[in-house]
Amino acid sequence: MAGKRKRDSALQEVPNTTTSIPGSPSKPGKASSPAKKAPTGKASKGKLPQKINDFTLLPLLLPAAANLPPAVHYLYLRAHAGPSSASSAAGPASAGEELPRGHTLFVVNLPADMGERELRKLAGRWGVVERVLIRGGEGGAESAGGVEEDDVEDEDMEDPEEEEEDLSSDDRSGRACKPRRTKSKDPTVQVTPLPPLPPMPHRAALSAHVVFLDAASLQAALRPISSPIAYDRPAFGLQHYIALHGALRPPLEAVRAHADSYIAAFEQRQAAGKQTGKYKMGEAEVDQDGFTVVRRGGKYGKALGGVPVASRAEENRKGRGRKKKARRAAGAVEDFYRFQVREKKRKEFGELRSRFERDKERVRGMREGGRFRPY
Amino acid sequence: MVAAKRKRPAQDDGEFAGRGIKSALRQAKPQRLVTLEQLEEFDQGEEPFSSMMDVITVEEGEGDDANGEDEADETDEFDDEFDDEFDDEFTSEQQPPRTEMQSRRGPTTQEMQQIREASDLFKSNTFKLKMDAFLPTLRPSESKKAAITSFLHTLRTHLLSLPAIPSTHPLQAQALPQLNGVRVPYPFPRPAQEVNWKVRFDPPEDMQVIGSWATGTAVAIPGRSGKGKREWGVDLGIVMPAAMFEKKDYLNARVFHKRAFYLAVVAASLVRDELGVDAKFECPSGDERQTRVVLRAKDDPNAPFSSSFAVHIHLLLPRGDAFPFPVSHLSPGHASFHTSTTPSPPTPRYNALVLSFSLPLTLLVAVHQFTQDIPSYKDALALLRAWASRRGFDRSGRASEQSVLGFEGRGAWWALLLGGCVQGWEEVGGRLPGSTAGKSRLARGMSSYQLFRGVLDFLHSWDWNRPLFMKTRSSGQESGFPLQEWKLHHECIFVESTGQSNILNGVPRSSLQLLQQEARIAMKVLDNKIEDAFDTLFLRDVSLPLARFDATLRVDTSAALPIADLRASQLDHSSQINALVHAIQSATTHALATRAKTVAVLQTPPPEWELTADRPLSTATIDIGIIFEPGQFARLVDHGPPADDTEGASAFREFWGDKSELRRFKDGSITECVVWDADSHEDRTNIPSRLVAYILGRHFRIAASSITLYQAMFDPLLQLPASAVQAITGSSPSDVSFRTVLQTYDHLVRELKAVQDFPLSLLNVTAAADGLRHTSTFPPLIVDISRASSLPDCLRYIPAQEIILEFEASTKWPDDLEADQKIKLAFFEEIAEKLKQQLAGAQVNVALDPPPASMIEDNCYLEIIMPNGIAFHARIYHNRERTLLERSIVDRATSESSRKQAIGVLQRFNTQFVEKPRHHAAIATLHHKFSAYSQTVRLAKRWLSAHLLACHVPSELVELVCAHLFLSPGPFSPPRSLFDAFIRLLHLLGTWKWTQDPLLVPLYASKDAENDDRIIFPKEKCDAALEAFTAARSTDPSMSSRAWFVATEEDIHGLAWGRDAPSALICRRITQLAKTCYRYVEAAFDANSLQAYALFSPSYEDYDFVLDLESTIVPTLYQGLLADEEIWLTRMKFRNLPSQELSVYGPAVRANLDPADLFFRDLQRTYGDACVFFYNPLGGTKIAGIWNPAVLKPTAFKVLLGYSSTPHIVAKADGTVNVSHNETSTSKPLVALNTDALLNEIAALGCGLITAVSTAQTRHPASLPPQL
Repeated sequence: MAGKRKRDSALQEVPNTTTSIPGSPSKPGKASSPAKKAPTGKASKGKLPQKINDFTLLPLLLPAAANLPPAVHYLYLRAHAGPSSASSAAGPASAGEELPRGHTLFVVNLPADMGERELRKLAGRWGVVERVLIRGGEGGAESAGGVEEDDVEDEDMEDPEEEEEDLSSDDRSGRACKPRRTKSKDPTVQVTPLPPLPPMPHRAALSAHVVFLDAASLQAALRPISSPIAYDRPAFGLQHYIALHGALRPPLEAVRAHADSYIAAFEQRQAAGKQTGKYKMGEAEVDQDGFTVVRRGGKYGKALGGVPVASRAEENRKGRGRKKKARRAAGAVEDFYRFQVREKKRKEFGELRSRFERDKERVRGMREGGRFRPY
Repeated sequence: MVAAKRKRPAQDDGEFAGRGIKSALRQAKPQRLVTLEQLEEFDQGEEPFSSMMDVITVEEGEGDDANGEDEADETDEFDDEFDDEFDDEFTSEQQPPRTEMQSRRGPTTQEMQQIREASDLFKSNTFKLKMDAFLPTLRPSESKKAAITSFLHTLRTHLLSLPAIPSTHPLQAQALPQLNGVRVPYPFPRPAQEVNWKVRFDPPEDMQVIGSWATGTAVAIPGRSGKGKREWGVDLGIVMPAAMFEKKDYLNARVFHKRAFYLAVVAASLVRDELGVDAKFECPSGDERQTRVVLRAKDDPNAPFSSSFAVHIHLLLPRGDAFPFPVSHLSPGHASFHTSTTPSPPTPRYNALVLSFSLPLTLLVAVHQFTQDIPSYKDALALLRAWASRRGFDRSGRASEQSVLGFEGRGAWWALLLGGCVQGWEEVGGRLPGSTAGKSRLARGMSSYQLFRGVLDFLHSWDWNRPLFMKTRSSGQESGFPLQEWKLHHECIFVESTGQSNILNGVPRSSLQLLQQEARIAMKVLDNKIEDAFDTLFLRDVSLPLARFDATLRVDTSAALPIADLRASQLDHSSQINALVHAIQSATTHALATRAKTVAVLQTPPPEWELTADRPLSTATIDIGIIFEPGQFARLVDHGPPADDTEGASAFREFWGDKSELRRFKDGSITECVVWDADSHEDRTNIPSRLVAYILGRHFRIAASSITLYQAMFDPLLQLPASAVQAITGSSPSDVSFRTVLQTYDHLVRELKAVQDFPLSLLNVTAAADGLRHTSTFPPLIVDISRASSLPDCLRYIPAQEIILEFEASTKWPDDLEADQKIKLAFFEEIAEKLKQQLAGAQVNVALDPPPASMIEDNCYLEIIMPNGIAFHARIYHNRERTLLERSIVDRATSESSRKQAIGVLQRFNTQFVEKPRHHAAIATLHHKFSAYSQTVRLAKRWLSAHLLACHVPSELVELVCAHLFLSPGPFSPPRSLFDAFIRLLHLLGTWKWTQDPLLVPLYASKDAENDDRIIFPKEKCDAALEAFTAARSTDPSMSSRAWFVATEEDIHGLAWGRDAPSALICRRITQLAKTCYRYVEAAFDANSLQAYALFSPSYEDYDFVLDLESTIVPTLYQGLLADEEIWLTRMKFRNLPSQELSVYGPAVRANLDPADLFFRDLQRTYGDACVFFYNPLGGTKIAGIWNPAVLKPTAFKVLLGYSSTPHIVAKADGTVNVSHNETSTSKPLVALNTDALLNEIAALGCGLITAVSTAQTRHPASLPPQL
């Protein structure tokens, strides 16, 4: 648990770097309380359902921005009903983490600027939040999505041996690109991370899991409410882009430190891999049952492990197959019999005719498409 | 093709012997065809008219395309007609789909012949098929023909029975009651009061159908879609009795005055009578002596004939011995006007015109003979005229359109040219090289396509400085005028078979040169196997001068005061305007000399006028079009004769006026010369226009205000505001050019190669940025670094140029993609440290790509801001990455998702490191080959971005589309100026059917092609590309990828640049926009009100919402069109204030920082499913968006909808509002797009950037669409 708390505090720090940018505009979230009394638009009719399918509707009052009045955004909440292990849903960062059935909240339709910090703060009103997992946005796991949450959660994702103490990669979904920590477990070589980037808006309408400490909080969350909750949105905009531009150009020392430490770690890992690997240069790999492992590859194919066999692709690339075919073809006489000649002529004519027909078709098509008019 | 043609004449004789017998047999049946004897007979005979009619009716019977056409719908006539004929054509041959068995069956003879014919005798199957479909549309339908024939009979009876009018004084004749108020159209010079001759009217001797209608060769060429009405001209010749004229009437325009009176009487009789026609005077050539009457059916249901006919009444004189004047006195050198000067100047045009009054009857016989002798004559002639008509040489049926000076109403020229090409030409005194000209290269039995091609070949290869004579039928009988006399008085000589009339009388040499040029292009088009020659030659209309000529000038000549005395030539030309126009033509041609390939003058014919009205003043506006001679047109100095040639020098000075000066040149020669100045390299293109304007001013006193120079109109669009340039660079705007950035690049390359103690040596530095190949809209500006931090925010943008570093190969790179990127980081860091020492004042940083970039992808670069403020982004090309990626893609152990990722990364890798540099190199050479290319691309990018579309079209794709204009110029020669290139681009974008056609750009074949060659896409690759296109369209009919299929030889799949963008939606918008712009150009050109800025001003009306950006912080603001200079000028007043207080960007110099652009990209990434965003990256201050119509519809609730949603509320009929989610109903709950929240969210994401958001509702509160 201690490790987790540490991680949480680290997470808290990330948004802080954003808000502490000098000259950041005043946070609009604070001004939302008067607006709360006068929610605008269709929401004011109060006739909205409190549930849609088995999801509870949670209206969220977005504060005014630019010349626009406050607007209401809807979150859809449900108790988590999928598999209790979030091996897939929340992306690699959450792999292997538990999503206990009883006290996990499933949230969909997040605003694009809602990050972990904001979601945690929002959920904090119902109880103590243990974890927040936002579904990875960019990775491409965005199938149209069935009505059932399970459809979504069944998406296959690889399972990298990511460790929990990995600080830099384990934050917001949009930051999957951040230089990641080494996979090495050897504590001697640590990769110095590059300076962190400010958070990015994620793709609109994502989903998230919120794990509460107890089941009561979940129940509180699912209780329908009448008036919208004010949303305290993070700062994006102009300052964000200027900060991002700066952050993408880290100081040279940081680059050097990062690159050097990464390479050192990489080499260490390579060395470790060689030591532990079954494969030795020039020796065949033998599996548990004593069979020699044979792998596709070749001279330039896969170099590690197994006895390489030439692949068909390799063969074709070298054009060996073609030559063989040509040799075979050279032996045959194609116009020996009269029927062959006749057949050939007929075939030629057939081609000629089909070309003619095709052209005719094309001209007709052009005319139908209004192509024949002078232009 | 050439080989085939050569072979043909050899077989000729035998073939022709056979044909001769056949045709003799045919002629034996009199009811089928009229023989030549018969024709000759009715020339002089008793009932010629009716027999002529027989010709017509007989040929009607022969018509193979009879179709009962419904005449009710006249408005959409072309379509209907077309549909009918086309459907016939195809439905009759419609066959059920062939089974395998059928397709293998043996060919029938007929089928065999049809197919062989299409590919052997015609260019290709498609050409033949299209031709077969096209030709019938040029000819009138049978039912219409019948109506007009019966009308002509009525007319004939009416005209032949007109009563005589006794002799009257020409001026008093005006008041005669028989004229019924019709004004006699006396030509210039008008008859004076004191003349002692009289006018009178005797009933016509005869009346004949003449011209193309009589020979069945009449065509009416449809104009551009929706433009102009086309009509068939039916020419009627009334033969005036010779007795009316005296022998000396040919002098002093008396014959024309008498003729004018006769015409007035005829016209007056047509009004009086209940013929159901409207009669007007017209004078299409502008020569007042050629005035004629035109009849059109009245607009009522009982009209005697279809409104698509116009009957022209010409007055003729009897031919042969009955001709009333002495022919020998009308030779070109005779003076027919007796003026006070002695000797009177010769009047060649006048003489030729008098002689031509008997010509139509002669031509009728000749052309009829051709139609009999040459089976494909009519089709070939129709093709020829259609081709010429598209180029403004033949206005057949398109009366009100512009035409090339001298080619008005010269139908006979085309008919005789074609006939002559087959028949061969007369050898005059051995002057013609007998081998080629005397004997024809065309055979009578050739197909229409072969004849057409043969004529084009002749047109372009014949030296038109030499006279050309038709073969005389009766050899030995010399009736023609001496050759010397022709040569002295006529510019172009094409004498018909009587030897007395020059068909090209009054055609200036340069107009003929233009025709020759067009023929040369057409030959190239026909020789090109790839291009669709049919569309290019016959369907594409090229008559818009702006697209056709490199420079176009519109000149209002009404205020012209010619220096030289034009009176004499005025008498010959019959009007001041005509004389002036010809004088202008020759002066400009002389002035431009070798700068121009051709100079053409285009004239709009004067309008028709009412019979009772006075003749209107001739139109005073002409267009001068210039096609540049590459390599010559932009020269700065025109050399004259050397100083010691006194006579030549004084003539030169006389011509050029103050502009001429005596100079001594480097080679020691001292010559007269004219020197032109140009501000910049681009400005040199404008020298020819300026030169012509100067000459017009000098010789004709035409003020600059009366001349519109179209060419320079777009130039200001490529210039940055002077105040901004001054502020950023600290130097004058004229110093801005691409040279600076290229020099800086060279400098950087030297420095990079000089980096010492680096583990790997640098092999190559390649550029891959539009700023380094002259195609970025603006050249990258140098920045005065010392002052950069005090610049206002809206001037802060520094574009970075991408370059690629390639190091020597090494085995030490790790076999791991992610680790490779780290090695790159380490390399960059080391280079950065060293460059910092080498380049004092440079700013060097290692930079990372913004998220989302994957770890295995090339994601870092070196940012170098040179001391002069030009920025570069250097990336490292590591070839092994490709191998690693490919391996991980084929490896079975790779998981599906990482395979997908690897495919994406590999694609980007190839684009970045292979395709970009290759494209860069090819485009860079194009810039050197075509001087206008760079400007065209720049303007194209500007145009796209002005309409908020540039973000959706990759820059490289724009370059390729522009390259297409230059490499495959279609019916033109490659553009030499920005203006015509851009107009052609609009046309291309507007008419390119990208759903059906790929665009093939022979970019790499162009490398070693000569300047004027057609660059041809290699055939095999073309086939492969077409195949790829078909495959792409069939697998992806919704065109989610490669909506614009643009292929080059190196990229036949069109995947390099068009893979994802532009989408079909964007393509449709571009097409629509280009079409609208082109139409505007056409209309504005006609109205002479073209505004360049109008093409570049976007409308925000039809967007669903518009985000207004805070313009003071948009760093590219100064690049905007009509940017408000005040914004930066006011901010620069307080230079000494600390910059932090005024700037949000702080003191640092930053490359490629444009928050508006970053914001736009974030929006696309975040909300791409729900809406499409539009933004102008060149100083745009608005981001516009439209909702995806699919998401606006309420849909069933889903967990991952991809956009922010709200429960959908349905208003019930009883007024109560209810939620669609009804417990009792079985329907699923609906949700809709939560537009309010979404816009609110967008506004929050852009806080500090966005000042206001407006939606369609807030802009037009009145017209609220039903809100969802």
